[in-house]
Amino acid sequence: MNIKQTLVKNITWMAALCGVLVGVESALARPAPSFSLTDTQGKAHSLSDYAGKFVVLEWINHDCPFVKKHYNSDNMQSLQRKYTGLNVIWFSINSSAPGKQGNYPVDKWNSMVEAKKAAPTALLLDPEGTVGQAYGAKTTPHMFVINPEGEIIYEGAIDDKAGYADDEIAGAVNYVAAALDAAMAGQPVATPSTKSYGCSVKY
Amino acid sequence: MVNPTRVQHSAGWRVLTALMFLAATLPLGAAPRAELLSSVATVRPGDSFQVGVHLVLEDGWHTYWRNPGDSGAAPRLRWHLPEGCSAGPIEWPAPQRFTEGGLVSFGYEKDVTFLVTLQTTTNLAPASVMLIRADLSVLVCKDACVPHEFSLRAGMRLADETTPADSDRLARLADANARLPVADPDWRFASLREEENLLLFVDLPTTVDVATLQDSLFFPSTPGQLELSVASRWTMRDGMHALQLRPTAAVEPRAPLDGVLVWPESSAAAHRAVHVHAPPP
Repeated sequence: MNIKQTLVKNITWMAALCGVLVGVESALARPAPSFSLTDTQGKAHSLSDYAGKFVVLEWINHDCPFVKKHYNSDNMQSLQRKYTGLNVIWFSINSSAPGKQGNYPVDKWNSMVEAKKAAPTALLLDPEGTVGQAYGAKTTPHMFVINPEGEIIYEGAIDDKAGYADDEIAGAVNYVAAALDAAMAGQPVATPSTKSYGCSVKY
Repeated sequence: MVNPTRVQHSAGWRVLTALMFLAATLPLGAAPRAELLSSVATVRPGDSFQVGVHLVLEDGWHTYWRNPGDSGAAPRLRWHLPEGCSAGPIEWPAPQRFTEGGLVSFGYEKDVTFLVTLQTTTNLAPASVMLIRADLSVLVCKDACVPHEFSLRAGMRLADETTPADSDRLARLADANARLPVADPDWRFASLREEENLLLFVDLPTTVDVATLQDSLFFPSTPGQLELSVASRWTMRDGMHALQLRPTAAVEPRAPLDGVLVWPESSAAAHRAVHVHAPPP
């Protein structure tokens, strides 16, 4: 028996053995890690304060070209306005370490929120990166949607256009809006997990 | 902080020349340079020829492979070609792996050449010179990421014979071709899901020193297929070499595993990079 046949035979045998395991990989919602962070106004927010509500977490760094794409086009702000208007809690979270790109003093954060007409419930500061690491936030943006039961029902990219060019907003499928719309209507989330895209979080 | 302003290389030879003069005389910091290299001086309509987009990066900066990894974005080329000339896909040189804060990315530092084959047709519009233009959008990162855009041009005469470009350009293109992964039918691959892992089986040619397999790194070409920060390791299964990888929760279980195996310069391996196509059973 030649090498190729051996390879094929062995793999077929192992596939038979492991076949039961293939396809078991279902998207079980994981519990959202609890956190308590201070916003740019000095107010503390714990995830447990918002039990019973949908919560969106958006990792942010305004010096990142991918974040700029979503803010220069008003894409992020319009999502924030729409869903906070539907009683969704929306936290933008910055996990840049002190001295790293995107870590600003609070007064600069507040003036940026105003200049960009950003409309999250609050902008939370995570300079030690503990909340970012607990969630596994890799990029800016990186999005998480938490249901009223405290489970992560969506995590990953904001949409399916993984670039930073301004012309990539139009026609993009927005995964966050899709997850919120489905879950708020009592439907399962069709795409519960995607690969996030963007700049690395500056831990 | 890095100046996030885009370096816009404007259309028009005179403006381009002026900008190049400025770039040479002003300290622009992290500005990369790009050039369009053609393998030919003249083209006979109907022939194909290779071009390279050569990008030179400042020390410490990197750009990305077709799969950028956990962060970043792949470079993008947009061609502006005359009727009767069309561009093939980018041939990507073997990438390097970068890790930063637990995140893994794939790409290039110092310099890289993206190779593309252009095909002409015999009904190419008659003109003494064929001008080609490639608009390159590239994200260059160090601690921060800066987008750059280049409008690159080259010209070649249409003639009865296709003739090569000068020896300097040919040497640079030969170097770039040497950095491409090879498609070697003597290397065979298969992938298999095993509990939380994805096994990449490798059936290597008998001429290859098995020990050098340990030096290689696997780069998946599809974004989002693998948890890149989970260390991969070589293992044996039934006398076969298998690389144990961790798939993401989002991955389609029956998706083939495609990518490249790359050996570092320091390895004694004869191969520098081979294409991997590993279908499931």
